[in-house]
Amino acid sequence: MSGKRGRIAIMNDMLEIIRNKNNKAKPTNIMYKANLSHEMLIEYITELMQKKFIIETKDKEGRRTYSLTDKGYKFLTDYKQMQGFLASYDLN
Amino acid sequence: MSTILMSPDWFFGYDVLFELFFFIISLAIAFYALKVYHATSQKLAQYFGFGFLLVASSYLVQSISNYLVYSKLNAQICIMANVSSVSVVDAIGTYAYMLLMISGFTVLLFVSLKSDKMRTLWILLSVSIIAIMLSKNPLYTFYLLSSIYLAFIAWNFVENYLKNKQAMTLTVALAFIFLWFGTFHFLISVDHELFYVIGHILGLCAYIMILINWYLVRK
Repeated sequence: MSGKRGRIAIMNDMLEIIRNKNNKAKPTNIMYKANLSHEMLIEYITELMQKKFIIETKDKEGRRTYSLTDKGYKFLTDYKQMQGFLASYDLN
Repeated sequence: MSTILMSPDWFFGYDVLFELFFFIISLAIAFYALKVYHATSQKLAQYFGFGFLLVASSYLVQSISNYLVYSKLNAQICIMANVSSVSVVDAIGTYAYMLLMISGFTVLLFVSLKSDKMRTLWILLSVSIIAIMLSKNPLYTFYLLSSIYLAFIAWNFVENYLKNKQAMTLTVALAFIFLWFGTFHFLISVDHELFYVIGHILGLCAYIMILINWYLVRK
């Protein structure tokens, strides 16, 4: 498995975690469930926000949560289709 | 060597439509595989995409070549000089079709072998092309090699289905079994026109299966 594939799979995992938390996940939830270090979490969250897959919101106490955008939902659908294609033709 | 003699008169033109259909489907598969490679960096998807791109190119060349030959025949330019030019168009088209198609099948065979050594691909490719070019009957050698390669590719997809019993893997296994049968019928069609038609119909079944798989993947 190449590095880039690992990144895409990790991003997919993070987006799935957010979706499964009623589209409102805390950074600690994402970090533990996606099995990431704090540095990696920051790096991936930054990338997901740059790609406009997620948005960050803060409550009155300044606690951050992340939600999927339409583009994030589309990425999850596309990724699932790609995995289906790879499995169909035994390309994994 | 001529493909004109392979088709019965009543099938002239229909085969061009079949080949254009095969071209469109295989081109779509190639581009999607390359898109998957771009997103996932999965090397096998890249090779698979290039393999189908070669297969798509071969169908395009075949359909254009057949169309040119038929259109010249239909214009009833059958005096000696023109028959000769039709033969040249047919020979160039047939050689281009064979070399592109066998290259495509070789890449797909390489993908199914899951070898990470590029030397394996180059050896298979060079042996296949040399065998066709040096053969006394290049068309027969081409269909023979294609049948052998497709048998191994189809077997790989059958094994994939047995490991992972889903409609998606079943459609791919059936598609390549149809392609293999179709190629085998082309092998016989060198002497029998009807098998040329059956080969095209089996090819149509194969590409319909690939379309069904495409639908299942995107559902």
